Amino acid sequence: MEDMDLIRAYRERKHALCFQLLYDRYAGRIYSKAMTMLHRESEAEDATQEIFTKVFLNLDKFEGQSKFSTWVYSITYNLCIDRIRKNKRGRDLFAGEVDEAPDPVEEVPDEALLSMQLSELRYVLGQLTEAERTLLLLKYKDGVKIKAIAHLLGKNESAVKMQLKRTKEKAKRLHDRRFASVAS
Amino acid sequence: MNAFLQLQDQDLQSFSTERQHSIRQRVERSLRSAEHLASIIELFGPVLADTLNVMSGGDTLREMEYLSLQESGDDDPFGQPPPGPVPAADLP
Repeated sequence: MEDMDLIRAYRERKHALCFQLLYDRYAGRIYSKAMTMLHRESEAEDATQEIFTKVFLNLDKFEGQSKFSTWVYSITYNLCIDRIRKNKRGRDLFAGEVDEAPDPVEEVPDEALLSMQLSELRYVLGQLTEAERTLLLLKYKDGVKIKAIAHLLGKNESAVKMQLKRTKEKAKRLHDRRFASVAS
Repeated sequence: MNAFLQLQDQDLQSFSTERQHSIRQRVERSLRSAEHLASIIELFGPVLADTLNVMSGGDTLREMEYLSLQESGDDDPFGQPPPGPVPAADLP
């Protein structure tokens, strides 16, 4: 059954089965995205609950112009951003690096990050700042496009690209320093 | 599968084994509370607004029949005194 059919049925009859099907379809992915942004399991749990409550209370406002998943994910990211701002962790995330000149260093290819083992990636993520970690996870774990990340963080695309480039370099450096010597 | 996707997979697994059910119950509870509150407001909100409007000197906004006390109110539908005993001459 398509999302829109479930939504229509839920609107008409508030049927528990429709609620359950929509919840089961999206809850895991929403939790995973909340983990990307908030990093703590308890916060991601609370956010998932709040997001679903919001989604179902506002289901009448969903007009079907975009995909339901797009609508749900935009609610997810906006709520997580609000939470980060409230916790005053946002300073780090939203700090400007907009006007800085591009670095002359050659860009680290994506494969350098994607070929890391899970334990290595966990180590590297643990060494990065919260903003850097969020940026990498948004891009490579959740597959969010640069344009959307820029919109989420309130920056322009070139600033996000620059920050991503530096974060990749830092991640590669941290990885090589710790694991390259082990391998050789 | 690269390590980022493995991380995502672990999030999904941890959610479905430990959290899916409890969070669903929490969502259902908060939805029930919100709908209960909304139905109370829907039911009593307009009446309360109208009452406040009338109390502050305005006219009623709703087509409602407000009950009032009647001075001569009793159970007699015709307002006539009950008939007395019939005179003997009139008896058959």
